[in-house]
Amino acid sequence: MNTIAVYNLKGGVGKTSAAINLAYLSARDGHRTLLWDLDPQGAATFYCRIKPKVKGGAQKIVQHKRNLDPAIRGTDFDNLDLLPADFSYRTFDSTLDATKKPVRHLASLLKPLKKEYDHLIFDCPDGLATLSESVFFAADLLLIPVIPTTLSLLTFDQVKKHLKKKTKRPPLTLPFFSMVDRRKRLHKEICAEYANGKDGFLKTTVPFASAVERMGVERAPLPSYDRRSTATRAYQALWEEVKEKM
Amino acid sequence: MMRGTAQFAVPPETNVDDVLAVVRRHFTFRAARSTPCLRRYFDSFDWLLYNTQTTIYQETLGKQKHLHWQPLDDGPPTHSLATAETPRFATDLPPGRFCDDLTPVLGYRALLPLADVQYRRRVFRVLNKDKKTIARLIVEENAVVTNSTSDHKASLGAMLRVMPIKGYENKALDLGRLLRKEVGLPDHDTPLLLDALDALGHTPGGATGKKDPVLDPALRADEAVRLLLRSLLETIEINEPGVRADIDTEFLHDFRVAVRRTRSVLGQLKSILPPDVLAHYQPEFKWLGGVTGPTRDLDVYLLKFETYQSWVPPRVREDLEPLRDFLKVQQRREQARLVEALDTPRYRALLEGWRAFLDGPAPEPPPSPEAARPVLEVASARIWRTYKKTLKEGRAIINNPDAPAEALHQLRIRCKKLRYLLELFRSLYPPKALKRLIKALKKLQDNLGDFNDFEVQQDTLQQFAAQMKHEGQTEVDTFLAMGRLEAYMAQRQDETREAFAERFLRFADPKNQEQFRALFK
Repeated sequence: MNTIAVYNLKGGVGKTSAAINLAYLSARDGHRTLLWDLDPQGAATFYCRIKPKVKGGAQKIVQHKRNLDPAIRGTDFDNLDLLPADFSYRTFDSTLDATKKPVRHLASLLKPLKKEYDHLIFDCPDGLATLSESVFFAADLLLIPVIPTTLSLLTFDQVKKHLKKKTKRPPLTLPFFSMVDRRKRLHKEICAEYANGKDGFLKTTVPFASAVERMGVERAPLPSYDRRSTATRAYQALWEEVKEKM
Repeated sequence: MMRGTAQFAVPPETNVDDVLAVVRRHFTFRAARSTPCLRRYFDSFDWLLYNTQTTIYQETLGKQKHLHWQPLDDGPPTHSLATAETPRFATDLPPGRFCDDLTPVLGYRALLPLADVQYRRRVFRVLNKDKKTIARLIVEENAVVTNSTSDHKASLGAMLRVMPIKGYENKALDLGRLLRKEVGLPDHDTPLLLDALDALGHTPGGATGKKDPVLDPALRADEAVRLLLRSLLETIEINEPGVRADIDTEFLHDFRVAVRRTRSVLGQLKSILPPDVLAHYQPEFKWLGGVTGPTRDLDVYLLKFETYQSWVPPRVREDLEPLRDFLKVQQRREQARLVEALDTPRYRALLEGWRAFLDGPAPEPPPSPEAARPVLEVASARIWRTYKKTLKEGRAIINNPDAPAEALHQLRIRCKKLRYLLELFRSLYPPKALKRLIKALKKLQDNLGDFNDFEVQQDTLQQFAAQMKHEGQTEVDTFLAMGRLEAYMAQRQDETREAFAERFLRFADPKNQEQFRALFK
């Protein structure tokens, strides 16, 4: 099982859109895919039209009292399942801190899923505490959407430094530009600067597009109802690039 | 299978749309267009998938083609791949879990098309108030089955399938109950593949020539031997079309094993068959073994080619590729020769004459007193004698560290004879004990086989090199890589020789000896 985490310290950078669209594309390729919505806001869960509810919440999950399987829901798409968000995830950090090995704990919860799924995709909340550390420990790939602005790049630098210094077994980090507005000069300039793969940035950039925002109305992954838009094509290209790195 | 899965046959007098109208009163669902769908089912010649209760099919829906591997009972696929290619061998699949899991199941076997099912499919998504799909109702209509290899056609009745969605199984159960109780549809548990094969008049898991007949211990020895020989002849006949078409290498392998076993029976149970029959058929089967040999040798070379490549340093692996091309050309040449041999009157006469002899009455009086004895006695005596000879020859090698390769070759042949006898007559003995002995023998045979293979392959490498040089065009790098391969084989041969003593002593340990004595003496 390949574990991919979509993460950024900063919020509102297109994490959920990337997570759900890549999960959908993975499933469409025929891979058994599980998307775990770790964000208590439950946007990915909402897109899947699934109730943001896990019986017993984070507490039960962490205590090993609850095998993850009964909480998993099938989506409308073949091969794509969701582990829904739960409001209790807002205290996931402290729940994990109460365990013996907080950082390794999440990875051990995933073991039974290894046979069931080919790809596990985390949609992570922002922030940088125990839950994020656990995700870094469990993940093989860390996808980081970055808006091409100076501040966003600064945040990305912080994450990078943290991974280098504090994380024991850092996953392969794959940053990519997200919410790129081609009308903005700064966006264009920054993207051009990183176009040759500087800092490990992927070639694909995901545009800022109304099609992506419409996912909230359609409540479905973008490529499932829109086959042609530039955003759809960008996610497809992104998925191809991610597959190559696996 | 997932809870909530159900399958219903729609009787011919029932209108599917009437059924849907009833469902609509209780569930909200979104209709989908009716799409043409084609499923092509595959299995190996010897039903390796069916025997593991699974099936592989390629599904064409509009422009999309998927390859699925799923449980036979139509449960959700465990492996899927979006691909327009139909793999012939497991190793043709792109690297990944599908390939990794299928390779050990199929081995060297090719996937052959079994049946094509063409139908129209409508998928109804049952929705909750959030318009989330909570179950699927699939209607399959106008199904026509065709045999992938002939023009045989048959039609199937309409089917309704209830497919649950993980976490919402109760809704699927409700839907199933409705169709069963209120609409009164009968459950239909047969998987689509089995319906299709049934409509074509095929029996899955059919004749593959791999089963030895079960013998009655009291049966007259010559009768029993004729039964065995007839079964071996069937194996030869069943595999012949696959050998000719070169579908996969196992056809020829099974064909040759049956020929060798036949020869082994003729050679080792001489007194049981009439002398004139022996005098005629022994050389004929020897000829058949001979004409099928070169193709098999090249098949083995090609099957093991990646292993050979792994025996040389990575940077020279590429240099061996011209050898692979050379082997492929040779294999095609030898395969053509083999088919020519199978087209000769000599081959036809051999098979027809042999069949006529085996189908005819057992000669009266029996050709020898031994032929009239119960088969159990004769088989045991024969196995015991061969076993004793095996031990004797093996010990002679152990006691003489300078024993020539020829001695190991002799022992290898002796072990083969013993193995064939044990396997041919296995139905006469307790399965568990026999399995243990065969396993012990097999370990020894592996060692001897490797030793012999390394010996022979060094020679053939030399021959290939000479031939390639004669044909020109081969780069010196290739010859150098072949030289490395040969050196490695020589080293491995020495290692195999060193391992012999330990393998043999394990085979000849007192426990096994006791077991042989208990069963056969």
